[in-house]
Amino acid sequence: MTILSVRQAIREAMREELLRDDKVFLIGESLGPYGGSFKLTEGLLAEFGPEKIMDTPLSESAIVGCSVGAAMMGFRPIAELMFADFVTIGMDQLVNNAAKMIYLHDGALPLPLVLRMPEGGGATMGPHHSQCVESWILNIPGLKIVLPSNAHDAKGLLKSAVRDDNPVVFIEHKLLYNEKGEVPEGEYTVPIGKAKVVREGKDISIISYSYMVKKSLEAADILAKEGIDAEVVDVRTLRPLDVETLAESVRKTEKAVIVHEAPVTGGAGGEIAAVLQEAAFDYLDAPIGRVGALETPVPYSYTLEQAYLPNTQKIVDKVKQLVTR
Amino acid sequence: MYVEKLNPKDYEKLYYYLYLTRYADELICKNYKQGMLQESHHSCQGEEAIAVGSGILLGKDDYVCPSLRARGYFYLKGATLKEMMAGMYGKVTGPSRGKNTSHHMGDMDRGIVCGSGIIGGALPVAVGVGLGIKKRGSKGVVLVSFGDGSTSRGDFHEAMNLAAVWKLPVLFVCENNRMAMGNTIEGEMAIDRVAIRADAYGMPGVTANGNDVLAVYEATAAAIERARKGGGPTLLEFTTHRWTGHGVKDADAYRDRAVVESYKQDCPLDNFRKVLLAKGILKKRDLDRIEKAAMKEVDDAVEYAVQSDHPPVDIVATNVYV
Repeated sequence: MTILSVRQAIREAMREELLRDDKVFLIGESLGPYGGSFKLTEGLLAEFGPEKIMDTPLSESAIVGCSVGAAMMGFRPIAELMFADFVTIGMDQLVNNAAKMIYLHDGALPLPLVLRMPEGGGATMGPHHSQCVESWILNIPGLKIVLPSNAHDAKGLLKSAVRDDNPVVFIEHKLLYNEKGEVPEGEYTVPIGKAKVVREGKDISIISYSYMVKKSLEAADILAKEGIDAEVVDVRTLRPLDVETLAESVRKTEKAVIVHEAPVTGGAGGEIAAVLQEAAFDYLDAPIGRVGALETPVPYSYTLEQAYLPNTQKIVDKVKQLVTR
Repeated sequence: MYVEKLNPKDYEKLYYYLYLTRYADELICKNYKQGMLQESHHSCQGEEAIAVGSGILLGKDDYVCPSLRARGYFYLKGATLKEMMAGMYGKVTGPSRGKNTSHHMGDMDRGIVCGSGIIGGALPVAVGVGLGIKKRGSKGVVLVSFGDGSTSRGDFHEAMNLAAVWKLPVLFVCENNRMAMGNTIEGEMAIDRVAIRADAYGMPGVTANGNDVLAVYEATAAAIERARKGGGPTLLEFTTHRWTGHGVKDADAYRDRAVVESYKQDCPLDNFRKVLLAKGILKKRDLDRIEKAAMKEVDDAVEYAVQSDHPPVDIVATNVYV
């Protein structure tokens, strides 16, 4: 084992995949000398050269569309958007080309592309650089959506994404980049489509993903001191969703709260709640709770942004409300 | 002059595909009105010379991403009339067993890049294909066709710019029929020619008569040669006219009938026939023979489409992923 930050883990995954497969290349804005907006690609230009680390103009639609075309030609692009918010500009290419290309060829054409993007608030970056976009993308069959919560998963899931023959949206949380964790030395992957119980408990299932897994674990520690034994499940992949692992946890604890940073309305929590009541209705002992951001744009100022975001206390409060009702 | 290198067989081929495209289109429009087709057809009548005159130059290492009114590219790149027609009828023998329309069908093995129903949406994808060609070290090119309407979209800008910056072997072929659905060109852009937009990207922009198949051939051949030599992309603008409504359901009531009828005096088929006969390249009986063969291919395709089965329902949720 070695200790890596999420940033280092993602960089290592890209580096190892670049070395492993000549078809892999990186494409995005200021990836080369600049090293990427969050320095994910730092040092890669020197090692792999400009044909593998491709800097584009500020053209998100062209970045995504060009990646689709290159993938159709048998290459395996890893595209980066500076901020997940910018996916709106590349959305047509993502929705109408990337997601549909395999179906429109009736499975005869693989489309191996990874679209990486950092999302989330907490860095006072304002309303256009802080949003959580996964539910915007969730209603599109043909894509896979991966949101790692730690360095181990970030590296293993990204390597799986690069080797996947389907388009994978790989959503990183910018507050996780400096989070350190244990990562195995040498080759490993984490399968796409598998959730993970990251803390066992018997009283309630806190179901979360990305940065909110950290907050959910903090909440579980606080709740433990108050005699509430919470289980924390990391969804890891929103599409395909590992319904069975989530349902199994809920069948055990008989209660569930879903925690994500995106606003509650129309968020992934609604979808997860729906599949859980289908899969575990007879086991549920309380309504399924949801914790998310407020129904506003992401405010800029620190105090406002902190009030907007879900946090450990909000999770604790929601769990208590469900457990003691 | 590239056209000087054309031999009689090439001329026959050009005429064959011009005629086939026209005849197929007329039949499609007729049969659609009788309720026999499912695909919303966008007629290419009057614009055939653009796809045929440029598409004939594409080889097996080249790719094409055809737009709505560019049927000739499909036929010249090896999509069969039968599968295309079956696609129009929504049959299982059509592209991707009925999952895709014929007018956006794609098959990378034959060099046909799947199109998009979003006008201009295919341009960035074509740039990616161009990048793939360059990465492979191939001498191929990719030709992406679109209408004047597409040039108002941001994707046109992003695709043109990136292709120019990276000097990719992309031919941007604009069929300028001076209409974007119901809007006329004066309402689309404040310039007279689409091709001058090329200046803004640092690539050549060429305007040629899209109703003269040999002018299309000549301009395209030069752009292809440039791209194959590593010179990068070219914007080719071919001027033409739309003879019909936007789609087959459009009665075209918003245009002056006399003006639309006048467009038919500049028919790309008639124009080419005159050249062929005047120069003695082909004789009237050659044209008759070619037309007959083209008609047979189309008629056989319609028969095949009519006889084909509808897709079985159990395939609907297959192959969303590989």
